[in-house]
Amino acid sequence: MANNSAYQTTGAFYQNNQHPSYQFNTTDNRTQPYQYPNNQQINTQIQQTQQTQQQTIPQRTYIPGRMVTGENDIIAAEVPMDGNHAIFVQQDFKKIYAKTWGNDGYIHTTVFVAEEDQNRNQRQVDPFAMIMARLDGIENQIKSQHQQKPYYRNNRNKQRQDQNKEDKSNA
Amino acid sequence: MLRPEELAIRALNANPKFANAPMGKELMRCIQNNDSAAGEAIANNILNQYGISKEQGIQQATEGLKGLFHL
Repeated sequence: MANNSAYQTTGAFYQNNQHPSYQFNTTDNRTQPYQYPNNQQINTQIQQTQQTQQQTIPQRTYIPGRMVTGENDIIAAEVPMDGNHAIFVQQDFKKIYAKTWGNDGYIHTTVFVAEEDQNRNQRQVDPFAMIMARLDGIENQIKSQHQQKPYYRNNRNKQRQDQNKEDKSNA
Repeated sequence: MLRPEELAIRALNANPKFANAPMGKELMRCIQNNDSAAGEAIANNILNQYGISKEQGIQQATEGLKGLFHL
């Protein structure tokens, strides 16, 4: 993962522009010693922050992500820390990376690899090979017919054989 | 003054989306159980993923917390 700009480790606090609205002091504190905020002030600020976020959190209708040239193109700040996945599609559409933050502090990646279209190979059959296969089939059929039944040209050979048999029997 | 653990829990709760995520829940568990070793391991893993040093991470987290609580 590449290096990122400042304040991205805690960037999850301010996702979707849901910045908490703070009320600034209008009094001039320069003449007064600095006072640490007490628990009540911090509680009030946190409640205000939570109320603001609850009011303004929209339902997510999109999946964060973008097109990338490779996995090294993805930086950690692009993966949301709210537990959702971010989807990164490789430009050649051969891989899709789904990334999410795990509870161990690492980004977990699921890689989807494109499956080749088997039908495309079937469609791209060589027509010459098809013709040759068909001819081979016809040749085999002819050979098998010859093996089953002897071929007599115009039946002359058979007639001669039959004639010879008759002559021998008569003699 | 708040203890650091309380401050961290409040910082987590200030962002419910992060607190409800698996990593947020794990961090909350570490804080509540005083499991500092596991918490540090997660923090180091996050730093590793972002490609920044521990010092840079502490500096950015400090600035973030100051902004969150308007200190």
